[in-house]
Amino acid sequence: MIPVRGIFRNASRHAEHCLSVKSRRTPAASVSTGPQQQHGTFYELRTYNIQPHLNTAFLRLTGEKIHLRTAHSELIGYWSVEYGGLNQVFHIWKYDSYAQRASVRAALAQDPNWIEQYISKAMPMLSSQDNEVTYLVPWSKIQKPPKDGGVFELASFQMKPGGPAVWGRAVQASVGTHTGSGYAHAVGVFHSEFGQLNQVHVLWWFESADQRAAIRHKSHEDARVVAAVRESAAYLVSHKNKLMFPCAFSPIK
Amino acid sequence: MIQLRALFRNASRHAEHCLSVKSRPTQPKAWISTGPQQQNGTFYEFRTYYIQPHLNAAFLKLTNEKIHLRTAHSELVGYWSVEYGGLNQVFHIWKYDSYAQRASVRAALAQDPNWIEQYISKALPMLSSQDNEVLYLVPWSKVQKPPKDGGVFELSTFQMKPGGPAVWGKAFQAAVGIHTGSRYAHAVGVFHSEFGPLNQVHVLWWYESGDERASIRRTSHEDARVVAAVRESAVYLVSQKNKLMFPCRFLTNEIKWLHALTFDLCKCRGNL
Repeated sequence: MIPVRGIFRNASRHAEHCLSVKSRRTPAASVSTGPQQQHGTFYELRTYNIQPHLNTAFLRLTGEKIHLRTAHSELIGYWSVEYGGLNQVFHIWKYDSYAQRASVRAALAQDPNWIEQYISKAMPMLSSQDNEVTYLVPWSKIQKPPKDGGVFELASFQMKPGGPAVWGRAVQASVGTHTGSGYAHAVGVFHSEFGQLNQVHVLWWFESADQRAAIRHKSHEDARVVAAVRESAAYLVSHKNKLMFPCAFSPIK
Repeated sequence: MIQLRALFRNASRHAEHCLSVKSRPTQPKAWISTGPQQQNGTFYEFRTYYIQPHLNAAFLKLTNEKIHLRTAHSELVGYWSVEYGGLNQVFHIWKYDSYAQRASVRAALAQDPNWIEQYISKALPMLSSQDNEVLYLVPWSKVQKPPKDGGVFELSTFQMKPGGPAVWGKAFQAAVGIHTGSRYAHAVGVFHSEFGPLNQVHVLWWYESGDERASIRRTSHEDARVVAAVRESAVYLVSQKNKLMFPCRFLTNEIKWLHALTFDLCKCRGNL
């Protein structure tokens, strides 16, 4: 006897199972750990918003006196924002540990020249200051641009929660297709530790804004770039950027 | 007789039913229900003041000297200066028994000449803005002082998906619990927003130092239980931000004179 009823029952159950798997409600977030840095090095990203009418004066004073500050700790770069922000400076400072930074700040508080010649004059020019702590992603290092003069793009990616173990590879691939094809020079790739979390910043260098535009035009027709960016965009919540000019006293310019 | 036709018909109808359930024009279903609610009126007010950069040190000094005029009126849980994730910012938590109690506190403050003259009239012009938020402690948390003085505090702010604690409460509690239970961190309190941006949960953590926190994070990220619990809770997470803050050590009236002699400022320094 053909066990028809059994076949139908199994088929029916199977269909229900498939349907119920699909309608199962709880999405599974994929979070696991990826490679972590074993040392304490971090980069502090500072943004100052300057009162508009004092922007020039602030930049001039800073150019004259920044040596009083760099005597205390390592400055990676100092930029003025030109597109995507105005009357803003953005600077990156490198520290070996939170303890080292605390001792730097304690020393600064005791430095009369720094206080009198710079801080007391510069702070009143600002409307606000902000900072963020970031780590270099494991596959990146600070790489000076091939030449001086040029423009820098700070591309900030708000990634989905889950961390580098979720989107690390896709972001690395996406950055890699840009650098590997000679489209752009990545100065560094940073991941936030304090501030807005799950943020990745890529600091790009270009010869000029027009050169960047021409390169983008070309790279958007490169299937590998398009594919890699599409992959990484799956993990992207939002994206913003700024184009910045290096200040004359910036170590990276 | 085997009623094959009927069998086929039923099976076919069943299949159609299943399929049509699938293709029914989809109305998204939000899953909201209520969870345990607190039965008392206690709430915590989070206040954030943004100070004009050049007046940060002066503000902290004045506040250090005069805060006793304020704490005479109501309970201060903590007062911090933000060091990472914000600058020229102070963050403070005040506890109230009810909205009525807070209203009477504020009425009394408005009538307090010392408070107005010695502090408010001088401090407020130093600020660019103030902000506040009202929160309840989540039912499974209470305010727990750190094991020792000093140290650093992390205010970790989670923007959760809408739906409330009944949706994410258990997963969140598990994620926090795995950190505290494994002695990775001390949770001072876990707060859920009632006024301000909603569906926000703040966890206030204590650590011995920024470096100790970094080292603990490395360890905990290799702990499978932590990873699993965080993975569960991240399902409900929209975004996250945090700040590292240094506590301001405010002085009680009794010992104020002694410290004034030694010119001991609030540990949080002006931004330099």
